[in-house]
Amino acid sequence: MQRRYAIVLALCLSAPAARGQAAKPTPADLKITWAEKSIQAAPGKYQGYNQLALGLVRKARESSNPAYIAQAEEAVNKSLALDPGNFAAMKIQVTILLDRQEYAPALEQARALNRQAPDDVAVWGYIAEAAIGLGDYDAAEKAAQWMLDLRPGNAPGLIEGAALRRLYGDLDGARDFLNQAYQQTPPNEVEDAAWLLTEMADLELRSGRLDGAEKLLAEAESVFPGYYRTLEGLARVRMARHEFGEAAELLTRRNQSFPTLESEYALAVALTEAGRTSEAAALYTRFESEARGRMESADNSNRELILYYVDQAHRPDEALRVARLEAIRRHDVLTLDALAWALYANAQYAEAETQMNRALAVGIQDGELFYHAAQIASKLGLGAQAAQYFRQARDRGALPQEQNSAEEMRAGVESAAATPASSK
Amino acid sequence: MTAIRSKRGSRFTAARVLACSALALVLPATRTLAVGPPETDHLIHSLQVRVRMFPQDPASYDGLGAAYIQKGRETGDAAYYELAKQALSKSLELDSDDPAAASATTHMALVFMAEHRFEEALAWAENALALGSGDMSPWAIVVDALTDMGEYDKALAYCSRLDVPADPLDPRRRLDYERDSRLSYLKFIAGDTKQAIELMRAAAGVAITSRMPRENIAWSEYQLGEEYYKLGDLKNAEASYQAALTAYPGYYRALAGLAAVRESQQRFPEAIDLYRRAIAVVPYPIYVAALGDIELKVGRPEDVKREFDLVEFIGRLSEINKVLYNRELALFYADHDIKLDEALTLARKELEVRRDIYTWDTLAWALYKNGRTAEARDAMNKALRPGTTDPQLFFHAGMIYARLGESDRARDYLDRALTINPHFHVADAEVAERTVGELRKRQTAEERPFEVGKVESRNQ
Repeated sequence: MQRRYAIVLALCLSAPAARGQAAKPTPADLKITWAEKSIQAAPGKYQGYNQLALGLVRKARESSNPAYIAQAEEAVNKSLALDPGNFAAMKIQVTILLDRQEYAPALEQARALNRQAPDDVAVWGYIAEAAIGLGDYDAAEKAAQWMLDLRPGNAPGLIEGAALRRLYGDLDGARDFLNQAYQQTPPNEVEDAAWLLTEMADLELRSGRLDGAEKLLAEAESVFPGYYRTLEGLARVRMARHEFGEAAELLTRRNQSFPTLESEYALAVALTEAGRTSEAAALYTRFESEARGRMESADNSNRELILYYVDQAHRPDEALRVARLEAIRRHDVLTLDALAWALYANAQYAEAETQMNRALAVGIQDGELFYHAAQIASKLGLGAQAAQYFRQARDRGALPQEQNSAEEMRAGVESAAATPASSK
Repeated sequence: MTAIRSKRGSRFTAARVLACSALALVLPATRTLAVGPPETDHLIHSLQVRVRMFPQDPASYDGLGAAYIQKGRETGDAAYYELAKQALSKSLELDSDDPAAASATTHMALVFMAEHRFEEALAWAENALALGSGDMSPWAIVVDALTDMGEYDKALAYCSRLDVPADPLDPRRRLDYERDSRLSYLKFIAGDTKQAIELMRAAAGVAITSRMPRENIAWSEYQLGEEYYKLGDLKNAEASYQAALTAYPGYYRALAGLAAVRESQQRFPEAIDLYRRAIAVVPYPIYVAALGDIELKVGRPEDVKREFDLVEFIGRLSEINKVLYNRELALFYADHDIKLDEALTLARKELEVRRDIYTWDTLAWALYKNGRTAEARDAMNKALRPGTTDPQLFFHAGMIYARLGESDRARDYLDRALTINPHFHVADAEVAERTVGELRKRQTAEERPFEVGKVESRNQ
């Protein structure tokens, strides 16, 4: 889950954060406490419920516990019961939809709010977020550009802009935007700071700069210790370094509280690579069962499920079925890539190439996508193209279990390409 | 220019700045709101009309809050801060959770700064930043609050957040003025007076070239004058204060600064006149106390009593004044050997919220006057730790060490105070001279404890 939009949503306002408390409550805890006091003081006012909802959305992001989202929804409903037309509550409703990856209704509601308040930067942010989720990058770019034009340098605009730059393959540009947002982050907003650091670390990782990624993650850990996103990031670095056992340990720690299907799948992959196959198998079984249970919902893990069916379970037909189901909902690059990979696994190489080209046309520079593209091109006999994709996969840090075979295949394709046609 | 497509073919080249009034109002940071008094009254009136016409418009309430803050600055009347708080609370009640609320949140931080509620000011400034509006000026309030809380290293580190944006085409306001003025003060505190003055001159230059409001220009010139004055450079101090008065005629801070220069030049009638003019604008207890000291010097006891009564009256006028003027009153009592218990209580109370070097200095002085010299030394060490070269601090340190019998150290501090400015204070400079003389005499005579009260009183 991206949850970029939530980065500044709950950061309000009239609650001067209490400082220096013994138990070190998180920023979300402080906001929730303050909101609850506001509700106690004025139970007839909707504002307190809005604040509580924002605090709970924030808490969900801090902890990865989705139960807080349900509580946030309850609070926002109370707010709307007190004042059905209050704009702030309607905005929070959109954030909840976005959190649940219900991008189409989120976009619809955000556009309605945008018609009411076209100068509201946050609402443009919801449009951008939903459009990114659906794969409508032109619409997302237009919305994000409006954000930055309306209020130059605003953090939500920079964050949406960074997401788009990343998709367009401009990793340094994305890093620049995130850094600008980081410079705005005050010292008390420790989770915001850690979130931005983990995002920047991921860009470093995808640029092949593992040391840089590790440094940023260490900073994130010092700012907000035990953050699940930091542990996930560190695990990705370990995977890229082929330190699979350590990656598995980090992910095990991460999954001790509120694991997501994505984090469970990541752990299973790490365990596989570390040679702990029986533990991995148990996790895969659980993952498959839970992921299938959520297959029809918006907040699913269908991408991981598709990859599982192709790479681990060797059930290409089921992978394709899930991929086609997901592609009805959204056309973002990762969904297109998963569909292409499932098509490839089903030997439907031409359509796989079409879908992969759609994904890569956006400009994304991602090792895993390049690896998939290379395999597809290879099957289609496009030797030079395949070799190029393998090089890009290697340079951009393809997943470890694929990296070795990527190297082998690249060598194979390059050697085939170098062989005179007469001798083939 | 901030375009999503930064390096690839861009359809979105120049940011279209749809500046809104809320953003414009947030721009004045701690010391940057200013229009002349009549304009402020007019602004307050027009905004009062506006909030009646548009009671659901958060920006109007925010604007009104900002105007009240300005009025508070111009008059020194803390009641305006309460009015500002009410208007800003209303604005935040209407809109508090997105970047548009950053302006009102920042203004709320300013109110708490003005009320010397530094922790709250810091929290509000952080909240303003957390709203992610793209306006970095709340960092200036963060730096100010940390400075007053005595957290100089942190304050210095956060000055770097005022560096952006580097891109000359970026439509966001540059914050050189905020950064340089804060850095200057922090450098001064750290004893790097040369760089402090360079930075303040740069800030004053920015204020002029970027056509900031007149009061901003005056404030920066005044601040530069203060730095020169504390270094004993009366000529440049006078020039700076005069420049402030040219930019903003009748600017009370500059009048008081110039009065201090005249005091150091022993031109007492002019000093009295200037202090009176400053007090007529804003009756700060510190100005009234300084006026009383000069009147005492020139032999006007009836005026002195009136001024000293006024110092206490202002300090106790309202609940907020009791907070704002704790330090001034503590120093006043200690300086004049009256209500010494209360001086100590007030100094300690001030230290609860303000832990900067000047509060440590006040506490040290109150402890010294109460005969608790060892504790005074410890507090004084905290005041001197950053390396500040302020003659008043050196004077207090010298007197404390003299009473402790550490003659060499005492003489060193007192000499430093007198070397920087032989007339750093109308009364204290003479006490320093006498004490140095006594210490020198004793150096050749038999070592004996320094006799308390013999030379250290102002009334010799």
